[in-house]
Amino acid sequence: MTYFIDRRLNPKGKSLGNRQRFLRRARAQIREAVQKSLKDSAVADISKERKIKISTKGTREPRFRLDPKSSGERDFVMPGNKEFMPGDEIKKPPSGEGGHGKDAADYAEGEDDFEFVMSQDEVLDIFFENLELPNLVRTTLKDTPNRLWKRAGITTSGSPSQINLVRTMRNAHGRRLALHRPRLGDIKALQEKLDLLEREEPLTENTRVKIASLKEALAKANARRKWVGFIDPVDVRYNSYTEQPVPTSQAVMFCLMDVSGSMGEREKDLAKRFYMLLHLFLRRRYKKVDIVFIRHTHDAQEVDEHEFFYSRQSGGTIVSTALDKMLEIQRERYTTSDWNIYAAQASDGYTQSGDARRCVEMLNAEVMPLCQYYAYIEILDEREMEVFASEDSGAELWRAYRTVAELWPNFATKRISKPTDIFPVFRELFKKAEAG
Amino acid sequence: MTKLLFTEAEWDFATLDRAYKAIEEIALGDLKLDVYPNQIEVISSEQMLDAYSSLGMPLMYNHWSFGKLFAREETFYRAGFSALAYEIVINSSPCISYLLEENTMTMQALVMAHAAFRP
Repeated sequence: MTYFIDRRLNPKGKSLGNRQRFLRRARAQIREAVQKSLKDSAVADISKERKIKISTKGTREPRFRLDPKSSGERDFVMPGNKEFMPGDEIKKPPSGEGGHGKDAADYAEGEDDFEFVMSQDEVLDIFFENLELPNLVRTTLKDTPNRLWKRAGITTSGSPSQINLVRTMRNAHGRRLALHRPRLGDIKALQEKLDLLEREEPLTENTRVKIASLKEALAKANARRKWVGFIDPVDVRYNSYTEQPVPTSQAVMFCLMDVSGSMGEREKDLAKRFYMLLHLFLRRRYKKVDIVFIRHTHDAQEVDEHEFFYSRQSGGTIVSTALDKMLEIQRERYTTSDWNIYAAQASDGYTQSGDARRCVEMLNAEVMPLCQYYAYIEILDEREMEVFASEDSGAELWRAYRTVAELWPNFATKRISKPTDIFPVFRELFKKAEAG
Repeated sequence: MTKLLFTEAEWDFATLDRAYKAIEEIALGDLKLDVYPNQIEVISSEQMLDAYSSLGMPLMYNHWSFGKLFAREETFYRAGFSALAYEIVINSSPCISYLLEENTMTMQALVMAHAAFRP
């Protein structure tokens, strides 16, 4: 009888576990390759699959091979040899001298790079690895709604759906062994022996005694089998779970962006890309982070995600309005006792004259005491980047903010002038602090 | 005149069955082959890749090297450097043959004759 079975509906991705093992093993190399490949790609491309190339060295598998002494394959250098180093290759003899070519090497793969495709999630995981919000502290734990079921060992009572088969069967096996439960095979053997003796002709006295003793043994074995069950209630074990509260730290990220007329399309685009990356990072790594989007011209307003990234607006520039708005929202919704407060500000560094001083005053007096971390990103065009090569020179806001940075260690300033700057700057801003 | 078993490249289970019966008739009747009972399974290309990376075994322990194998096979297959095998056979009783769903009907008939009826 032949069956046709449609297995196409069966789950695929059976080797996903193996793939994760592989990624884990070659992690260091993959990390390097991902960073390298991200360096010259646009932020919008970060959420795409990506071809990764790593050297085969890290993925080499041990293998059995012939004894080098008897097969003549040597990859070591004898002491006293001054000419060669391990790994040297002997040059091909010049053509025409008639050296007979040897057979091809026995490696199937050679020394090529190993290339494979990584999914978006895998790339993001690697990219955001070792990045974190700095100075995050556990805020009040009052009635955290977050609870997680955690395994809590094995119990002797529980619901049948949580039965632990492996443990149960192991216990049953042990008990059967300890109480000498006769196997079915043993009983069958006894029975066969008995049948054989009973069929014997003529029946001697000796045989009769044997039959009697066999019958007794058989009855005993059968009784014991009944008495020592295959599985007994005392064998049964259940997986146990307990509910545990998960400590959470609440955090809010204020994204302040300058969308005034002085920011050209290019600058706005760079700023948006930076925030997109930040948004992706927070969404991925911190489930409990609130993000507040504030954009400003001469006037600041809180907007939603979509408007922040996609809508256009123009006008004059007063940076301090954004800070005002941020403080206002913070006072309304995010008390410092419950929330870690972060801010990221992007601007081209130009503001109404005199406003920079007001910004510095506000930062020093009101904003910085609240904030765990404040990142200021200045978007320059490449020409300006050359002019302001040194950290000390810069536009008005930059120079003003440098004074703040000197006072507060958790205030960071960075410059971006081209799309390729975004990834390194982002990594630098959110680098995990060294363990200490 | 006898009727053709199939004329289209597309296959379905009825045609597969018809072709299988015709092959069986020749193998057992004319050639007198002694074969195991057959179990023929249709799988998709992803499942074929999965089977590749576990060296064709239906079950295999977990190891990173299989992950590496899978990554390589997948990359090659997607880039068009290598085509997938048309079939994988496990010579057990019953003999399990995996047919790739992308094969044409001719290919399926060929594969069944080749894989399912080896003495």
